[in-house]
Amino acid sequence: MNKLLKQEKTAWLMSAPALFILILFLVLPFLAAFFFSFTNRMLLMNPGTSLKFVGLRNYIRLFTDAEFYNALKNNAIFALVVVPIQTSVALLLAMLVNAKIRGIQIFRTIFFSPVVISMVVVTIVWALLFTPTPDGYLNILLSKLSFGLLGPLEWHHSASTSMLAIAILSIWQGVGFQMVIFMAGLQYIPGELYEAADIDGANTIQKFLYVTIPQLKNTMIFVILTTTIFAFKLFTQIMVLTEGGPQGSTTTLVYMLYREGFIKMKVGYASAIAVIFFIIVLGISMVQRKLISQE
Amino acid sequence: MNMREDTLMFKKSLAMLVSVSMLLSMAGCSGKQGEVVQEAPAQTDDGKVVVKMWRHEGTPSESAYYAGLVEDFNASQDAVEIEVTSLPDNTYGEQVNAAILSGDLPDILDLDGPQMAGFVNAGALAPLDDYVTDELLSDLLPSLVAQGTYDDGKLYALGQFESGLSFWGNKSHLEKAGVRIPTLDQPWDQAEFLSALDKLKALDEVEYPLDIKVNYGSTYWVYSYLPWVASFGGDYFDRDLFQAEGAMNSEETVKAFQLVQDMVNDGYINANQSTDDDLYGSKTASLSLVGHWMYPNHTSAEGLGEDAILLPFPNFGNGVFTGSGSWAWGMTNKAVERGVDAEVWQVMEHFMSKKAIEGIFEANGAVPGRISVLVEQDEYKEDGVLYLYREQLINNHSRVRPVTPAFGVIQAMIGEAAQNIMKGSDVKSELDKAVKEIDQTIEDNGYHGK
Repeated sequence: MNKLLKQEKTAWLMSAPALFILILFLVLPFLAAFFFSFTNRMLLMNPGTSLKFVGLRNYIRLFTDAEFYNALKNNAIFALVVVPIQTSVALLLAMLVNAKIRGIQIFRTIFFSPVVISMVVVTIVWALLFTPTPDGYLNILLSKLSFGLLGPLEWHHSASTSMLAIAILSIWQGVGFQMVIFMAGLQYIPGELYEAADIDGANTIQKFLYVTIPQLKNTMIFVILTTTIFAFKLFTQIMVLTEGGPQGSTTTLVYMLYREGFIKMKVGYASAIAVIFFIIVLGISMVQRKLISQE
Repeated sequence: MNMREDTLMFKKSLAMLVSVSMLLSMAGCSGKQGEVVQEAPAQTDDGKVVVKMWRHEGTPSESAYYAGLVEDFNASQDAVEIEVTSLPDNTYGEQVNAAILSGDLPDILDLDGPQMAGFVNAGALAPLDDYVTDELLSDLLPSLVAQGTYDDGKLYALGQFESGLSFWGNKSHLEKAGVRIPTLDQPWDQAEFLSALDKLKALDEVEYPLDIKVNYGSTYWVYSYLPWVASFGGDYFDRDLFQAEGAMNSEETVKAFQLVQDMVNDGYINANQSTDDDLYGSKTASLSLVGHWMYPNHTSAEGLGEDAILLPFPNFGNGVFTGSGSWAWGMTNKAVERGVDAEVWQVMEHFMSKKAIEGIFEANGAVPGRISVLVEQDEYKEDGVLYLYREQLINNHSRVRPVTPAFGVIQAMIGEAAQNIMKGSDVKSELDKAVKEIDQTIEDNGYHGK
């Protein structure tokens, strides 16, 4: 009993620094946002006005704001496109670079390198690739690959393709990270399982479906969850490439939050968006976790 | 709520915003966080008083000029040392706002004319009346004094230069297409302007005749397009009622923006423009809606050289207008608190010297802020390339941007509306949407007049 108590004390002591940082940078700011979401807080308060409670005004505004639903829709589209593609491409790349071939480390480095580059830099480079004219790099490629049938696309300059452009560059930048996590998962699968499958006469596809996938379940849950959360946090690419346009086609929740808080200076309103955003992401993560772990 | 509590609230909410943005952008956003400035010691190792300065990046030649000016000042005496930080243009205002909130302002900063009202309103700037000399004041362009003076009658900002805005044109293109070159007395009307665009478009070398600087992004429109709106008889802001309703969505303003959409549809403007050198580099444009800062590029030998000429904007019924206002220097209250106000003034005096103003003119072709410098420049004499700017400003053709703390939101919303309009959205409903956002912000902030 005494020993357990001592262990518990040590546990608290050891986690104290992390807890302190978590409370300072996550819990307190969230509570502050929650508080401000019920006030008329502006970024710079006019000396003539004072901080006061406005009840549910910010929330009522939010739920009657067409831009909010537009942003939600854009976030949903982005997540639905990016999460499955990024997860499968990451798994594919992980299997490729996990092969025991000489010099494979070079490919690991190449696939991982975009993750290390700042998203701002990545976005600016892609902005050049996305040149909307027929002599833009990607448009030339597209035209060559499709024997002149496809393109030229206007990419991020057109409301119909802007999200696609953002999704492509986001996947390119982020996929290396998930690849590394899958690689770690793959290396933990005991070789005996594959040997046993060989003895049972399983082919490569069967081994993948019945050994690799089930063994990667936990890794998969982690990857899908984090990718979804990352997808909902979509901001930098939008800020640099499109500023939410054209015609609102790339306005996401976080970009909307930024714009309301920093450009229109409505901190109270922006806080309400932050609270709702938090609830949405929390809800999605919980549902997803439940669905995946039931299988 | 007393002052102390108020400041505490400011700090708390900044902490909240910064943390929320950290929370929300673990991977991204790294470029935006350079704004956190450490409190530096007040003195350098060799005992000089440090004056912290922020400026917006500007064009490469402006940057080089200011780097030289700062170096020049630091070397000119051994009491004061300027420590300068350059910030990106398109988020400059937001970064200053964040710094006001967190108390991290520098001692001296440059600001775009219309930002002054908001900064003074937030208690960030110190009046300059006690420092400025009569000699300087009487030599300053009147529009610069007006721009730097707030509702309370005090002077808060000193501009080294005034902006010049009209068309830059390629003379060879115009002559080849058989287009009459307009003057301030005989400007184009709408019909002649559109037919000129049509003729220019027909030239083989021209792709999109009008370079309206779509590549500058959303923040440019509040400045660049206001003269056209004014010429139609509209405005962005009702300057008596302090609201956008009835001005930004008026029939006249709608007409002005309908013209933008029509020009895109007719192929006169490239709505996807991402290059800056259509007029002077690739020479695929014949007219450029851009100001004095392109003067060095346009008139250089690699650019258009002698072919670069200034033309007035068309008269759409209500006269010819030009933009006015430019970047100016302000002293922060932080400098007064830190007790370096005398040193800051020393810096300002150096920046406002005739020599410095001649220098900025060479760097960006702006209209020199001091009349004594302006009249001496060959470019601004009767036969000079830039004479039109002087003529426009002296004959009072300028329309200033709305002087209100709500300027930031007006700038953002009209820019967004303009971009959507170029992409084919309905003009009236875009402007109505912008009006609603602006007036709601004004309402929430209590920005209604004095």
